[in-house]
Amino acid sequence: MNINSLLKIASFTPNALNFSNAWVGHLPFAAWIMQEVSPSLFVELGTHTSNSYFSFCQAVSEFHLNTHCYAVDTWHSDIQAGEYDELIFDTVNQYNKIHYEAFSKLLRLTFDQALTCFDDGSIDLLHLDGLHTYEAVRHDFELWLPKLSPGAVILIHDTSVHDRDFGVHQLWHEIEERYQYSIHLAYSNGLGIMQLDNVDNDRILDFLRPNFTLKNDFCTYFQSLGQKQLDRYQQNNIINQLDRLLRERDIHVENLNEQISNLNSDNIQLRKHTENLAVKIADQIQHIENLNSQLIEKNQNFENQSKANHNLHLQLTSIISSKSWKLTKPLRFGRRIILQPSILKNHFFALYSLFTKQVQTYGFGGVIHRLPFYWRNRCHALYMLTNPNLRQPKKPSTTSLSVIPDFKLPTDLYQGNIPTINKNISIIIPTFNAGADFSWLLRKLFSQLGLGTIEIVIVDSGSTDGTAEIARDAGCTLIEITQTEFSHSYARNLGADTASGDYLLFMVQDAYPIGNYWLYGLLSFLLDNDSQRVAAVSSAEYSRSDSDIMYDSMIHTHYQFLECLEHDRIGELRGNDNVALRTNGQLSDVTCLISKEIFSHYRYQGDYAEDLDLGIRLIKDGYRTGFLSSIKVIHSHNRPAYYYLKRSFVDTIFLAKKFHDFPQPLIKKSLGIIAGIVTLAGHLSSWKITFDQIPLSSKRSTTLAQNIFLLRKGCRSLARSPLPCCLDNGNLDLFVNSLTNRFLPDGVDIDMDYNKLESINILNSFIYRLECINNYTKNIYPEEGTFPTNQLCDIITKSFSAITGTSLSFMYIQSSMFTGNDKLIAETIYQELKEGV
Amino acid sequence: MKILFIDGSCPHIYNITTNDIFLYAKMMQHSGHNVQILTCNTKSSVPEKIYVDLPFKASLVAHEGILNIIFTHDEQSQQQITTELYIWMRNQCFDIIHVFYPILDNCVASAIHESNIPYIISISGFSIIESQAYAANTTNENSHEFDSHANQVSSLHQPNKQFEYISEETSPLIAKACFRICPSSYAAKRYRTAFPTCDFTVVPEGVGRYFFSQKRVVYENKSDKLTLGYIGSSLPQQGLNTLLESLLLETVLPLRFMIICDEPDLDRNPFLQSVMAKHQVELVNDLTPQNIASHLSLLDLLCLPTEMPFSSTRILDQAASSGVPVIAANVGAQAEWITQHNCGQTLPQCSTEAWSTAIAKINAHPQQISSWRHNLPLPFLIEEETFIYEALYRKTLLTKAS
Repeated sequence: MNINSLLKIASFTPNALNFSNAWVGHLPFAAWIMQEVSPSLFVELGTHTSNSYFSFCQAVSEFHLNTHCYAVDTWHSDIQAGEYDELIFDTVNQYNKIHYEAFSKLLRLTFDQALTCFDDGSIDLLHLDGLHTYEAVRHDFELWLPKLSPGAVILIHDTSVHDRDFGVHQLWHEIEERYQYSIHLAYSNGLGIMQLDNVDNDRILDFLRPNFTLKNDFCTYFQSLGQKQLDRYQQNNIINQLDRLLRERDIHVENLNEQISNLNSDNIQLRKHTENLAVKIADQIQHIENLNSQLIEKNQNFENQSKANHNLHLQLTSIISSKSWKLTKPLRFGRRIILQPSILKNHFFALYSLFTKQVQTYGFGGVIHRLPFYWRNRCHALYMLTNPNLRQPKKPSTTSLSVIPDFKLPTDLYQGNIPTINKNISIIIPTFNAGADFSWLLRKLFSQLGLGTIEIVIVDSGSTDGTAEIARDAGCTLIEITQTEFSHSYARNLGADTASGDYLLFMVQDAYPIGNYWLYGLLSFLLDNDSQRVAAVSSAEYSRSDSDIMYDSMIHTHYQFLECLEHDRIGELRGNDNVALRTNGQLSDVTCLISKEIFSHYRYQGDYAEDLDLGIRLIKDGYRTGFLSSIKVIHSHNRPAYYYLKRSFVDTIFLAKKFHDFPQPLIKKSLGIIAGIVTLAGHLSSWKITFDQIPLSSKRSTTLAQNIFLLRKGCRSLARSPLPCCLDNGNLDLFVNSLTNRFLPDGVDIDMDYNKLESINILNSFIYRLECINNYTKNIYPEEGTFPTNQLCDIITKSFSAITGTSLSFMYIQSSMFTGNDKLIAETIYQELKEGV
Repeated sequence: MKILFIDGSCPHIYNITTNDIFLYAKMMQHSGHNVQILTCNTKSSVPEKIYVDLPFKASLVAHEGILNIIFTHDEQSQQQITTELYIWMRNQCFDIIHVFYPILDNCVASAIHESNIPYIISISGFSIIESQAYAANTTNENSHEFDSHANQVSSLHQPNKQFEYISEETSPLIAKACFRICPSSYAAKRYRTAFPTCDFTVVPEGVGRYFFSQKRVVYENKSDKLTLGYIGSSLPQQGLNTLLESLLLETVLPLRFMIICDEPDLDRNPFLQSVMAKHQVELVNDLTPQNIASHLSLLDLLCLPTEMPFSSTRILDQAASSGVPVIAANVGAQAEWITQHNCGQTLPQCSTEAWSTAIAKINAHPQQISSWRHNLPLPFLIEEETFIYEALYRKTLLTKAS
């Protein structure tokens, strides 16, 4: 063995290093064996990317050997080489033509087809690297064995691979047993080298002889040379990858430069647009300033007008309360009849109209049958007929509402398929100690059917009864605020900001929907009336089974006022007076459904009656509001009597401030109001003491109407020292008695006109209120003995409480006209009553 | 609106303070309507007589603001009674009549027709027979008679035997109503079969609000025994006997057993005595709705073993609102309800083995109760039920007016 050739081969550097790297470790050995054997004919079976083949060729070229080289491969995909395209063959072919065309040829054939290209005994060096299954490689070996010349050398690759279905190692094991001249280079998938022994001994290569003692060193030497080429291969790969990344980065930089250029261009345009807008804003500010100065001027005019009106009102009151005016009343009535015979005519037509309506409703026979009913209600009917203000709805003619005549049954009753409305709803509920039933409300809301997703946003202001935990456990979105942060508007707006639904439903913690399609019904109404610009809808309340007559009567009166007692109604702007705005704009916090888009423009404002305020702003902007009686929500409160006082006080002040035309009686002095209240309280306490002493069996047959008669009869004269208030044994008694102690320590001055006037006004208001409740209850309990007398005291006490609150609120509203002690009393009471509702 | 309710049972007759019809009437009053109740009961005596001022023999009871006219006739002829009744209805100018079927008097059915006042009908039972079975349950009739009634009623859920007990007078009453209301889809399905030309509206019976407010003990945290409950008559009867016998089998370990019933007579029920010796038994007979609600909330599981095709699921709704799953006989609306919501188990009435196996299994795997409880549906409130009635009244009157 020539040591020089071994040393020289260490400097061999393959020109072609291609994928894959399986053969790269053997490339130095390939060059060396080519030099050692110096074959006339070299054939490689299985060339693929030609890592090995071109090293053989490079050796032929560098060592100037007289060798003809052939590479046999189909260059098509196979199971072991995997999928590859024509590009590989083209590349190999091109490289071969350029560098080794003189002695190298590529045979694009199967191994079996290529057999015919070579004579038997002609191949001196054969490299076998085709299919690697045992059967395939054995087939190739045995088929090509006759083509080998005596003493020819065979190289077989992949002899160390034992995985997949490789069987070359098995063939190599058989070869080693059969042929004595062989060596195995185990690295780089293994390369077996053997020489046929059909030649003289001196032609046997030394390193293949069995007695070659340096076999291990030989293998290690070529392994280290091969490792060097593998390192080169890795470095080449890294360099290629870096090149690719560099190219990609260059492209990216180019794109970014283009974007920057575009942005610069946009920026210039935006700057120009901003400058234009700034000019427009300056114009608008100037316009607003002009409008403000006009507003100030108009306000000044309005104040002057108000003062003039007040003076006129004072004059008018003094005329109306004068004895001469009262004495001449019959003369004026007679004059009206003479000058306006239409009054009698109107009464006649009203009666006729009522009769024809009854006939239309019940038929002639029905009207005859109802005669006893008409007779029982004759007083009320005559009162209504002779008072045109009561007969007609008590509102300006411009306020008539759009009442929907048909009555829609609850969706829950429909038996067919109910199409889903794919809208997402967010329900916003401000809470504070919502109680044990709150979890039922959440379940009920989450189980509403026929809609997209339902989200519940709870805005809790410091509950201590576990409300927040219930909400969290139920899967609600929880926002916690402190009690000092709470206001009705703030809490609801905060919830709306968090909500993600298309529509927002504002609710209260103690309401409860009716049915499983309740929310569906509300949303359907809103969508069905979208073309009419209905922006928000509320549902009427349906009393809980434990509600009291006072509450039932109150909401009955309220819905009568809104004209939604028996029908759904749509409100719109029909005037700017208080009645038109309130009836048309009323929405309710108990339930109010509105699209998020519209709400985000308006939001709730103010600390009180924010629902009414929202509705009025909507109708003033051309929207409409819905209030439904066909869809109701269960809600009612049995409030203590004192609550009615505070609620009426705050309500009336709000309405008077909100609406300049809100009607109010003229108050002369605070002390007159206080005297009227304590006098009435004393009278009612006296009545209550008497009533409590009546035996139960006698109480059963008493009615509200009888007691109104008794109260009216006995309350016409002022008592200098009225009885202390003893109506509810609670806050109401304390408050009224404190009025006496603080402001009337010396009793009521019965000689003062203002005391008489205010006492009579308060009594009349109280009796009127009781009459309204009586009108409501007498239709429910017409039969003798059915009126629930256990609620009689409750009704009277709460009515008194409400009237007291209203009277005190009028006193406070007009206190700007008072001086001295009267002004101080009004302000003191305001500070006591304004909080806590 | 002026509304007349007609029913077949007055709470005063049974010496109790209220019943469903009274609660409906109260709710109508909250909405501003005048309601009177005409109770037709020919057998019962009248507990309190305020005055009699009607053309027919009746007594008036005013209770919580509602006028209840308890109507009897055992002397006058049927035709005369019918005429007097419908003239009275017309004179009273009722806007609408709501009939709570079954009513026990054909004169009333005829008078409703004659009056020409629009009416709707709520059908809470399958027939008079079912009502008699209920009555047997509460009036201490012997067990054989009760079981006989129950068997008759059981046959009603078979399609070919439906409604053969509906009398000639009451069939037109159902057919000519403006709305026909059933308390469950189970009942509606069967009535539609019997009256193919009529539509039936399902309005579930509502639950009182007091059932909502009960704080129940969570079973998982209890170290105590399983607590079963039973509501119904304590007299010997097949369903109850099956349950009691099953509790006596060895497979059922000692447990707590609460029987909510009318006055129990232990001497007449030897099984019950044996059960009391093995298990911790509590007998409860103070049957106001509030009391039932508070007792229900103490149970882990309610057992309703009697096989009867109940048309209503109210007792299950009451249990559900108290958080109590139910095992019940596998017939009727109750069985359908349990299967639909997977919130309990249905078992055959006669199989002691099935009941004992089920109870033993539940005792061994209490997590099953949690799973059922999780599936309990949200019950309908009585306010929801009456609002729907009111909507139907309005629709009826509008339709008539148009």
